[in-house]
Amino acid sequence: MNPSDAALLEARGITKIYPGVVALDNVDFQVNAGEVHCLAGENGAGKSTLIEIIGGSYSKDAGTIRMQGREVEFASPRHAQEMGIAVLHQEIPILPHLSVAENIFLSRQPLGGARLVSYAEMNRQARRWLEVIQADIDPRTLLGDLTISRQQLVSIAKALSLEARVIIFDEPSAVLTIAELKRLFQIIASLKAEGRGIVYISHRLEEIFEIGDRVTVLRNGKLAGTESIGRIDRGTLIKMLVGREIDESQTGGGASSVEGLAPVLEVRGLNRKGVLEDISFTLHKGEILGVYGLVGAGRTELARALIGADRVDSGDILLEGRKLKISSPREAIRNGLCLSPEDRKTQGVFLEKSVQDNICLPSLKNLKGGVFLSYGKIAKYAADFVSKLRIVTPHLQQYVKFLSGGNQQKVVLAKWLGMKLKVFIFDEPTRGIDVGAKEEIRGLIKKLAREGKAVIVISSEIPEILVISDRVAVMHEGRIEALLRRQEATREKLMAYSMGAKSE
Amino acid sequence: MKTNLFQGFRQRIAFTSLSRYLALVILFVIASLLAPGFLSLQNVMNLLRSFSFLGFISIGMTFVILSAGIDLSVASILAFSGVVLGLFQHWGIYLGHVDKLSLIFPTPYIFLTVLAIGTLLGFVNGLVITKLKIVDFAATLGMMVFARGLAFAISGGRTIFNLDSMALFMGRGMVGNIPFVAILWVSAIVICTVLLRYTVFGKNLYACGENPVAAKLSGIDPVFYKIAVYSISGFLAALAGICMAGRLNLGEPRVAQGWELDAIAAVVIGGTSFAGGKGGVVQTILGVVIIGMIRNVLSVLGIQPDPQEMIMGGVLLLAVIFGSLGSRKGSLAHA
Repeated sequence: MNPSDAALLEARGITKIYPGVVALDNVDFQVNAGEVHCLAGENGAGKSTLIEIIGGSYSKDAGTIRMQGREVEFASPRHAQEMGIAVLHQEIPILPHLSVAENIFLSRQPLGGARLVSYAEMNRQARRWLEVIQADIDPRTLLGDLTISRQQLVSIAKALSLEARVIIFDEPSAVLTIAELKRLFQIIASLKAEGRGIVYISHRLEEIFEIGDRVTVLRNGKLAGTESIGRIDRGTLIKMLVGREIDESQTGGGASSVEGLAPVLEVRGLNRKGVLEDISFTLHKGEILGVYGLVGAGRTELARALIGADRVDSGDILLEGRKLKISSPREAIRNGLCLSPEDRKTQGVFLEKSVQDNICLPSLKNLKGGVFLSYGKIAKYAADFVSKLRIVTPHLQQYVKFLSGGNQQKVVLAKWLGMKLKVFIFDEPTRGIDVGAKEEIRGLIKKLAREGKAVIVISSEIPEILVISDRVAVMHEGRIEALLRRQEATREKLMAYSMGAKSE
Repeated sequence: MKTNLFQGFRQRIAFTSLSRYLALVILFVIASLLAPGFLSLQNVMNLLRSFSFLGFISIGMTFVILSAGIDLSVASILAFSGVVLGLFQHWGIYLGHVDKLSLIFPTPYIFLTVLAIGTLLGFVNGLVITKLKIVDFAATLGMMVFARGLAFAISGGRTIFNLDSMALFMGRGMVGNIPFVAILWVSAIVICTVLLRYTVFGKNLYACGENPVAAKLSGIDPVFYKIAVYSISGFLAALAGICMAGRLNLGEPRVAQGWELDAIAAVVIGGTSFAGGKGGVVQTILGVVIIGMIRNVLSVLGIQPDPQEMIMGGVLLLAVIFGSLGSRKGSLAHA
């Protein structure tokens, strides 16, 4: 057999069975030298499981993995690493209190005299690998002091130093800004040119078309197909992803003009040193205000300030003309404001609690029969929302961690719906959710506005902002750079304002 | 809907919890084979009484561990409470006549005062943890040393003998065939179970324990719940202290050394997770009974206290191993 003919990495018939679930069913996947192979699929489709098996973290129940024609059996992530496979996880496992160089050479520190670790040598080598990807990072900095995007660069340097031939990127775009992502794409292009095989996992179709050579789509643990990017279009890919067609161009319904609508929330001169600067806007009844901005522009901080999770230095928040004094989310909720946070899994839901418990938590005091909680009422209340929002769960006692991202988001929404709140703030409501569920969530948010609620939607995805908003606030470095009506908002304008280009 | 609820319920009875019941049954079988009369009403009641003292602080510990905390100060608060009770009943200790009762005020008031002091110490634990942002372990370690030291200081290191009849009743009294302290314990279990399962307080406590950040964003104040659980733990430790003093007829600063560890062991063996937000008081009873039974069986076998500790350590380790295998929550499970 000629090794140069064989694929760099070839997985055949990979099957992984969990009690009651077939996570992967006879999946084939291969990576050639010098190609970027995108891996796509809805959440729960089996992408992560496949990656973990290739990366040696999980064992497989059936199938073979070959590297350049030779069959291999990975006993551990370390073993896979030694064989030349590097996985760059979305949540980069780092030791923040160690230096960049120490992280790169973890457990294989270069030794000097007396078999002691030689820091000089380690820093020298680390600097060399960082230079390869043109990352301007001092290897002696503590990793925890770097931004997430720079931490990612360090991971790439580490992968290179491991002589990795297959580098797997697990949804890097979820944590990177546009500029950083561009940089990453350049690096990926050069890695590809060196003949390495790249696996790129993403939810964003634009990226797949921009960077991919081939794409493999998984659906419900099965292979939906592998295609050359050149041979398919967006529609085909979406169809492969969801197994049905979705009209992406659909625009938002409802009122497009906010004139004549009653103001609900007025924010005047909100300031927080170094984070928010002179934020003022008015939110109307039945309006959806989109908030766009790059990562770090202060969008999440604004949301947190509005519901009292962070304190502000100055500024007023008025609800229906009444000045609010909010110093905790508890008071915000009492006054009618709620937040569905950006980090759904760690801040939005309780993963180890049931669907029922999650939905009812804030409303418990209304679900009593006499002095004590009535589980009958609780179950009825939860069941009501499960059917109203079409939350897919086998039963009410299912732990939320077993639900898909979209259904988890619906649980967060359900939590607030029964509470007669006035202002709903959604921070990245569709992040990490599959295409079909995104539409559903957006539909639910629009329905809220139609019912007369005032809604703020924060998003990093321009198409989403354009589809959902009545008006768009663009943030840059803690300020609202522009407040646009939907008719005026275009992709170009949003990008320009978000990068601080103040036109007019 | 009925079937849905049932399915969920069935899911919760995991293999691991079954193994705990199995361990208990085996212990009972061994014990009744070793000691004929073991299952006599008399002996069962005695056992129940002996479980109660550890039982009280284990309930408090359950609340604390549900909030993802740990309370090392319970045994010290227990000892301190017994000493305070003794002192208040022997105010004359400072006047030189130690043996005679000289109540500072009527016994029920003394009980209330002792309970209030215990609650206060727990409250201080909670304040230190939440306001000074000291980790639970360190804060309660400080209180553990402090309260024990205080117990020695106010008693001058002496044992205070002879309490009044009402105090004795707390530890030794019988209602019909049933020890009063056991009735008290079972009542505490019932009240706390209802508190955890059927009140907003309980539900919110579980939420705070699992994820304080999400709880806060859901409008729950985790600080309040943290302070509350430590206050409850302090209260129950004081209650255990009163009953223990009554049982021994002593106010003794050296009592219950190392019991905080037994209480933690009982909670963990019962299956309440150190990660917080999972478990409950009913499970803890199982832990208390298993620990009590093992000690009982070892004593019946004539094994000395020191090797007993060794065996208890092994049992605890096994329980944690089984617990973490079941839930995949062990610290290395994701490494």
